[in-house]
Amino acid sequence: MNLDDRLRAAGSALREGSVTQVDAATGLRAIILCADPDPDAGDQAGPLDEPAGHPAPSLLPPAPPPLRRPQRLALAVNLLLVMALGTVLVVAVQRGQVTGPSATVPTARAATTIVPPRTVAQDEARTVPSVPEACVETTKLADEVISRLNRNIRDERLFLALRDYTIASQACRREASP
Amino acid sequence: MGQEAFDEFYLREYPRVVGLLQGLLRSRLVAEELAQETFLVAYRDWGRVGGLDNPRAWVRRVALNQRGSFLRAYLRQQARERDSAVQYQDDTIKLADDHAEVWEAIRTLPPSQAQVIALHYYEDYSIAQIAAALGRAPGTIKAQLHHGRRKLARLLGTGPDGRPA
Repeated sequence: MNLDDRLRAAGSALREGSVTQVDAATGLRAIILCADPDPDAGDQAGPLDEPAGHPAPSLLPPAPPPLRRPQRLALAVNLLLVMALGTVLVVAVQRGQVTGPSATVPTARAATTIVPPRTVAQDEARTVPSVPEACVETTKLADEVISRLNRNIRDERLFLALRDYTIASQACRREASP
Repeated sequence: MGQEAFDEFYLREYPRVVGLLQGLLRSRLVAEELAQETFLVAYRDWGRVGGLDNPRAWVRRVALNQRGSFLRAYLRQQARERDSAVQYQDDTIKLADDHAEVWEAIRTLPPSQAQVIALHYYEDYSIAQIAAALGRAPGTIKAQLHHGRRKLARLLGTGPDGRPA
């Protein structure tokens, strides 16, 4: 057997060996798990025969994997941010009422306190708080961020939502400040 | 090019790429790891890779680059730790002794020659296909194939015509 034949035979033997001895199905499952932990990540995420509306591809385990340490830290930081936002909103609402034309009674007590007779229009004008548009936007973005974190969806959209949330919350603080 | 197309591509090509890398690296575990890395890159960018003229050549090129990076890192580590704990296990794809000896000889070639020999004899690639897959000039491939064959003839004790070298 000459060299060329020997090389071809060795190549052919390895090719056949690789096809029969390498388990590609396991590798494919691993690659999908590794590359796409987000079950909602669009049409590339799961098999095409996946039932519509079913969030997790069949190849994924039923329970989400436990959060890693940096993920837990990010979750804690984001929850703190949301709590801080809530505080800012409450303060903003209270200030809006305190600095109102004749409002001396907090909203929470307004329902149980006997107030001097006024027109309905006056009461409504006094009790409806004015929330800056940026704060409304902030709460929507916060909801989105929390939803994604709860579902453990950490992708580009989470990053964008967090970025928008940060910008909106800063604007909210500015607008809510006296 | 959707998920099904990728699945089909992976199931067909992954074992072949593992074999190619194992031929050049000896360790099947490392070959599988590098092949997996390669297909992960393809999966993440499948919209583009799947639309290429020749995705098969693309994964082979990436796989061979991965092998190069791995070997450089491995050699650096060995240089740092003289008695490196990293050893190739006996985890190869099982081959007859004669074929194993051929691949052992191919692995001793300079990397560029080994790649060309592997693509030519393992993948049955022509010189033009190897040139396209590796992004080198056909003349370079021809020369590397020639030099590689000559060294292998010496290493394996076989002349080009089958007579002892």
